[in-house]
Amino acid sequence: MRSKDDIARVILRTVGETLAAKGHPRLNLDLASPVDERLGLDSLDWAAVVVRLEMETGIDPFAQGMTRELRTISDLVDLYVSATVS
Amino acid sequence: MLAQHFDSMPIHAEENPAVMSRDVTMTYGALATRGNILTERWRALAGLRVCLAVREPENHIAAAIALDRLQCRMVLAGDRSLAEIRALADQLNWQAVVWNVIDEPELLNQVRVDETAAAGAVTLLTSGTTGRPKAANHTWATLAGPVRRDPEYQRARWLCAYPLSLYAGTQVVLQAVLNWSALVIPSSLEPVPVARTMRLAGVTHASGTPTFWRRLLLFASPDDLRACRLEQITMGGEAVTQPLLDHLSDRFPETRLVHIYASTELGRLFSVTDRQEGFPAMWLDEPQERGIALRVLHGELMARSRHAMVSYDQPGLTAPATSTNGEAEGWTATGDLVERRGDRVVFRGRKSDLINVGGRKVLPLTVEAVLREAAGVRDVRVYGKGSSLVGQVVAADVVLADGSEEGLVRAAIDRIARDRLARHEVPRLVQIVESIAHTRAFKVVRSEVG
Repeated sequence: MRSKDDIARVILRTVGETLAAKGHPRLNLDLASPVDERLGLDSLDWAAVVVRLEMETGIDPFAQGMTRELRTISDLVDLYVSATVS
Repeated sequence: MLAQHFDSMPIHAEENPAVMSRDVTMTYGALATRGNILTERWRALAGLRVCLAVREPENHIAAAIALDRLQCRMVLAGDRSLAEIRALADQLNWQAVVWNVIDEPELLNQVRVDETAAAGAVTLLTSGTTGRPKAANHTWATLAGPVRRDPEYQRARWLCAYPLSLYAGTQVVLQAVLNWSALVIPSSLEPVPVARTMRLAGVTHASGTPTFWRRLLLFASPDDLRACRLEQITMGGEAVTQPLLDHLSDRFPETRLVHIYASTELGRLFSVTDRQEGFPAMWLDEPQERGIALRVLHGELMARSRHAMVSYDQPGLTAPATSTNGEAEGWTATGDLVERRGDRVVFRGRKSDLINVGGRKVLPLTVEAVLREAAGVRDVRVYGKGSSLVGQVVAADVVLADGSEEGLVRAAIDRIARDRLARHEVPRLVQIVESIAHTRAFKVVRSEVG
């Protein structure tokens, strides 16, 4: 099983690469970064991030029907951690 | 029909090369003799439903001659695995398999199937990339319907880049055999050896999918391609795009370019030779050939064809796409989406290849055409990747051009995609790959597993 740190690292890297590929690299991406439009990813980018995370970690909380309010990367990490446990 | 054709071989054709493959050339005289030997050896198979699983091209044809003479219904299995053939044999009630020309045929099922019209019958398996293939019943006569016969073709050498067991492969085989011209079968369909074979064997006519030709232009040795003396290039099995036609025209300016539109079920519907993608819209009113009719219904090409198969071979499976009511009655849906642009009808892709992004449909060919223009992109494949949030997201596999840098190519792809495509059409998952996944029939794989 992956640790929370491990999951956080994978999520930050995947989001960072997605931003870089769009030509919006963010040097200060961290757990407190918002996941709304201020970050620069649209809903389809997020869909792709979720697909990539699933390919890498085997976890897809949304396919398991899990939902919760997501404001920051940290919330996303928590969601993935709870999906790992369930 | 095939056996009679060989029985009527003119003396001058006996020395003509029939099959050139693996550095071996077999003449028509030798091929006929091998067919006769197999007929004697396989007497016990007379009238049965026999699966033809012989791999070497010359033996595949010799076996087909023998099974035709023995009035078998032959099923062309191609180079499927043993397990796959056994499973199909069970489902489709085959009675024997000929694996090669040396061992005894394997008898599978002693129950006789009541089949009164088996003479000359050939069953082809569709090249579907998913699920179980469909078995389409043709006859050698329906398959030979579209073949052009001309004494001029006797000196032709046809390269066949399709598996011989598929519809397109049987067309090339018959085109060569019925004209007593040579069939050239490369040992592999990789671009480098194919181009070398074309050059060394003196190929004059070559047939393959657009994917095959695109790969050949990209990866074969330019010296080999320059040395080829091709009179005709034939493409089929996938939509032919204008950039590919332009690229082929540049590389082979003297060569006739032919795009054949056909399917296993409907047979050949038309061929286009004017170096433009799509086909003339006037053919919707006045078909190119008698017995063929085309129309467009809700964006999909529909057809009636005199070269169509007789039936499906599976019990209970009727041609699902042929409508029996409403405005489509009597027409078979081709599964190809088309669009009328002025006096032209152009192909937009397979209906089954549509990507569904949150309810909005994306055509892979549209996205590919744009991505191909990005600097540093050598080849590309676009497909849908399943997504728990939006159904599917658009994904692209990209082969980098020599010396290009991944980061720059990714940025170029993103820029051109955002400039030229709708938001939902922009590929969100871009993978850099060594080569583009293709099927055994050399078509681009559209499912996400490549």
